[in-house]
Amino acid sequence: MAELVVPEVFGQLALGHYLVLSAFLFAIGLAGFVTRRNMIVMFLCTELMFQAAVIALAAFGRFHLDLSGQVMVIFVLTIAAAEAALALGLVVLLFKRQPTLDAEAWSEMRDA
Amino acid sequence: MPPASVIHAFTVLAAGALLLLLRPSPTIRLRLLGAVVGIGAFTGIIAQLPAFYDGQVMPGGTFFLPFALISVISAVQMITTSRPVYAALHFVLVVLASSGLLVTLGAEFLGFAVVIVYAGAILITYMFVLMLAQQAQSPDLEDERPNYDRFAREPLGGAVVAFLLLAFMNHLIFTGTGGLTPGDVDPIPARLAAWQRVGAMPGRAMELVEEVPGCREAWLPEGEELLLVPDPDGLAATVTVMIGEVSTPVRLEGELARQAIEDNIRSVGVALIEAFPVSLELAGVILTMAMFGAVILARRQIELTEDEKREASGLPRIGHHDDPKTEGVDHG
Amino acid sequence: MIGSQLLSLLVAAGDAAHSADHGHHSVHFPVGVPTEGLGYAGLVLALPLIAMILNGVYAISGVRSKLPAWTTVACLGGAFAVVLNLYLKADIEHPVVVPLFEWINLSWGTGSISAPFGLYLDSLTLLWMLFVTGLGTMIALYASEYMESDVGPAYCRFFGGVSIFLLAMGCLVMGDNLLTLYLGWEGVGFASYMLIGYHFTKPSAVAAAKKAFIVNRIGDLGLALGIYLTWMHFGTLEYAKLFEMLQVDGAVAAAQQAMSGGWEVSIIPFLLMAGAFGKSAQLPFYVWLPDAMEGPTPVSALIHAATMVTAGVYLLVRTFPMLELHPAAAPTVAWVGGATALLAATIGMAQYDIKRVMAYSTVSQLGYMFMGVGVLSTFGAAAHVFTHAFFKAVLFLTCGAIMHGFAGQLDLRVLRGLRHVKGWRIVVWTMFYASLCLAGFPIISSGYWSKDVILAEAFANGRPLLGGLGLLTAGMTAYYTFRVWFRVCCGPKPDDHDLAKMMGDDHHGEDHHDEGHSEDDQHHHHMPHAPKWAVNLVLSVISVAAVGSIFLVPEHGWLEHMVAKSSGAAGVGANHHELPADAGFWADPHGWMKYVASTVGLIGIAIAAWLHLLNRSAADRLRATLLASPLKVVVRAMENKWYVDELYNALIRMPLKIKGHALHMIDRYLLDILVVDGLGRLPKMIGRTLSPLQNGVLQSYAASMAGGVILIALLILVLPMLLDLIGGVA
Repeated sequence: MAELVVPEVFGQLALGHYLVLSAFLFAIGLAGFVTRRNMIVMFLCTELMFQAAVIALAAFGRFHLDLSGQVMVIFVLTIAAAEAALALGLVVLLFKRQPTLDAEAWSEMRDA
Repeated sequence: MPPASVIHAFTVLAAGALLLLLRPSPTIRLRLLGAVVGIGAFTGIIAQLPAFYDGQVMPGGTFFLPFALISVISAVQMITTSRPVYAALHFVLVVLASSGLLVTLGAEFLGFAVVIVYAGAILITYMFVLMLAQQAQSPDLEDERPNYDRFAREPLGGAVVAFLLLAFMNHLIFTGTGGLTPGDVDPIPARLAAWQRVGAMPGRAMELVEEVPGCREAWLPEGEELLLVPDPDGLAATVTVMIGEVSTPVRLEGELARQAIEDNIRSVGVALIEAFPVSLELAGVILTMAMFGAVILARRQIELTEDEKREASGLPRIGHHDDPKTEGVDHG
Repeated sequence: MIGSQLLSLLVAAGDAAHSADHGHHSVHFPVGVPTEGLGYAGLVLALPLIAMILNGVYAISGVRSKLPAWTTVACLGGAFAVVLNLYLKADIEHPVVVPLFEWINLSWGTGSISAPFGLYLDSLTLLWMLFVTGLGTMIALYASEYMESDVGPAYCRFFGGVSIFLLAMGCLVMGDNLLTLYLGWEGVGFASYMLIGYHFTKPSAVAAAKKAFIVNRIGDLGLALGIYLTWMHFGTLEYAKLFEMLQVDGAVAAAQQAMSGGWEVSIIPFLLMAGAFGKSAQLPFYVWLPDAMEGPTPVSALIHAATMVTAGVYLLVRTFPMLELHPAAAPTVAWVGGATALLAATIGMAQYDIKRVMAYSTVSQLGYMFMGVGVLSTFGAAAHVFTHAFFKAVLFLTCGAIMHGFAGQLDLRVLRGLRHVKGWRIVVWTMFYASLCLAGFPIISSGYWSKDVILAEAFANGRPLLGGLGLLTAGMTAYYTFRVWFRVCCGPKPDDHDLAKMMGDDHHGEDHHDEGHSEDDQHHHHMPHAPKWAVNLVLSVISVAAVGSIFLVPEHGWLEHMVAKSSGAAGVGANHHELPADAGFWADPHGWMKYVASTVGLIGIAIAAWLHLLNRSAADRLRATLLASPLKVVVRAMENKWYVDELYNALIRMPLKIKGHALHMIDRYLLDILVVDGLGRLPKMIGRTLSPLQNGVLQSYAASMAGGVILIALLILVLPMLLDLIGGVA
């Protein structure tokens, strides 16, 4: 049953490996969200950040030998799906009003 | 040089690489440079990890590094390409790679679920919307692509913010989670919990029992609890079943035991139902509401006049003869 | 070491005093004991309180009649009646304490302070209250006519102020502890402030009120500290207990008290003195009193001549046993009094405003009283307070009548011949008699009797220089008093045109008396009007009282008896010197002073008569001559009140003003602009700097969020590091 705890091929991996990867993906997603102007790509970037969270959650669950991590991932998937549905609905709505996907086109909605 | 500074130096390098790649229409040479530096920085940080785990583990794993590199490279491609459709496709790659990583983490179910939900469902929706929005534009001609796709917005600020956050997270990973090596976690409670889950599924347990030689006729009396007693180390368990008319203890061990407690889909399902029933319901509600929301947001907005609404609901139109305004004038 | 030296010094001083002063320290006086059944004495305080409340009600309900005046007169008259009743019932040998109610009773860990609100009824209290309530009633009656042009809210305010004054004066005089005295002390200060500033629309009146209030504050600080130290050392503020402690064995007991308490105890008399000097307008605080004449004349007569200003004398007589706590205390009082008397007299000689002359004469006479206390003659001081209250009230009230009749005219160079004008007879002759009293005319004037006691005691006490100063002052007093009377009342008979020219430029009834009224004022041709019955009645009654006081003040008389049984007892026995049978005429100052003082007074009157009655132009010629001579500096200085106000201005007000301006500048430019505005501008600047962040672009909001996370992370990471670093260094 030793394989259960540390599978043979990945035996030498530590939690840190997955967390570093997760952190990289999250940072790249954030950078993308901040720098891209296309609304759809921005939402893709949020999905990327979700992916980073998924990896981190799964890794934590794995290394604590607790299935809650995986359950959380299921919820993350749920939220991601709901978010995608609503966000894309909004994009469509906005695109109908102003035929552009540029996020800055909507900057006059600010409170000033 | 203290390792923490090395980590931060690599983080800065990675940020520089991303900055290079975020430039509008960079030359191939610069892209290559950026890619090499970025990949170098990432693998550099990964290579630092064993030192932080006191040499308990060796660096690398057969599948981790490839999947990790694929996901990182694809992610960078995704945020640097000027073509939104390519970005979506790169994201599919990220999802696929992370699905592989999930499998390496023993989360097979999630690995497939992620591919199905993300790559299959969500990304297709994104594609639809992208196509819808960009149908008028030719994707081939660089100049015809809109500026908001071609030029990154404040790349420096974005890179700085994102990589400061990355530096912070790395710092925590390298200082705050040092103790979380696999060896530090006692696996026995996890195995016992897994046996408990098996005990909660009498059907599954009986399936396993039937695999044991000589137990094909085992049965469970109607309305009785399954008696499953795991060994103290959790590596095997004894199930008490009826064989014929005799109550017999059956040992589940070896390969059978591994099958019993490593059954990922069943385990996750039981954990989900057992530990988070309300959250599960809430997730369902959220999904339903999101569906309604999406439908309402996306439907065509039509302004109907009062008469049109009355007509639509089967009521007679309001005529001019009973206009109170004209009556008032008459009497005045 | 120092303590023992001080003790021996004090004891030596006490012995010296014993031999020189014929053992007056060992005089014992009865101490008040609590008693039942005299609770109605509280009416003396309650009646003015009722009057005050009623006046407030009248003011609110818009009464426009003389009702406030009659109410006040009735209440004050009632208070006088109660005091009289108390006097008739009282056994002077056995003072009583009438507890009214629990006022302050605090106790904590190791200490306690209690000040029951009670009345200490001994002969001194009764003496003071008799003339305070009596004069209060009469002057309220006078004011009912004097203030009649103000009928309405201001009338109510005036009589409300008078009622407050009487209430506070009652507390001050009748209270059975120093805290109640202090309550009354501040109360009369407030009433004085309120009434000086009665014409609150007039800047000079407001300034005078402020001046009086602020100068009094300085003295009151001394009094407060004195009371505090008394409580610290003796543990009680009640007279009865204090007197018990202090009169165990005269000076030795006091010296022992001083010894055991150190310097804090020996400065108690000086602190009390400061309070007394402030309230009674002595050097260096006297400057407020002349300005206080901005108030209506009845106020000047009642508060600033007859009663309130004698509170300082009362305080010193009441706490006379405490003067023994330091050997230099009594001489200080004496010298301050003498110097004030002389200084004020010299100023009074050179003033043209008759009310101001009276004000300076008040300061001067108060100086006599303090001299009396200082030369250990509480009897003389109290006697002079008593006689002075009546004749100075008359003088002020006659000045007020003239001012009232002549629309604010107070310049003695303008007024003349009032004697010949119809309807002014009572004013002229009561003024004449009061002037005789002030001048110390022999035998028939009350001032003669009381002043002589003080002057003689100064010589008897081995202070001939002080006595000589007093005599000089007495001569000056006689001169300036009669200068006023001769100028105003005598001279050629004025015809109607002259009278019209004499009219002041005031609106009728207003107490306006700025110096320098133009003599050729042609705008007011209305005629002066003579006083009516209330003024004449009051003048007559008080004058009769002044005559009556002649019979009360001589030695071994009623007043001495009253003082001898009070806390001022130690200052009475000194009058009964045992002289050797073969002593010459000059051995007993009380003997020869009668003649010398009379002579000096008569000389003063004669000079005044020469310069201002017989040869009315001689005064101006003399002034011109003096101004041409080297003495002109002195004359100018006297006319300008020795430049004391200017000196205070330069020494105290200007530095304070400069400091105030400097602090104001610091406040305005350093604190307000740099700190306050700076603090205000900081968020504004930050806001302006950060407002571009609120640009409506989604990505920048996301970046800000991430930045916030980073900041928090840095805080979490860096703070422990810094703390470690600090801990490592430490």
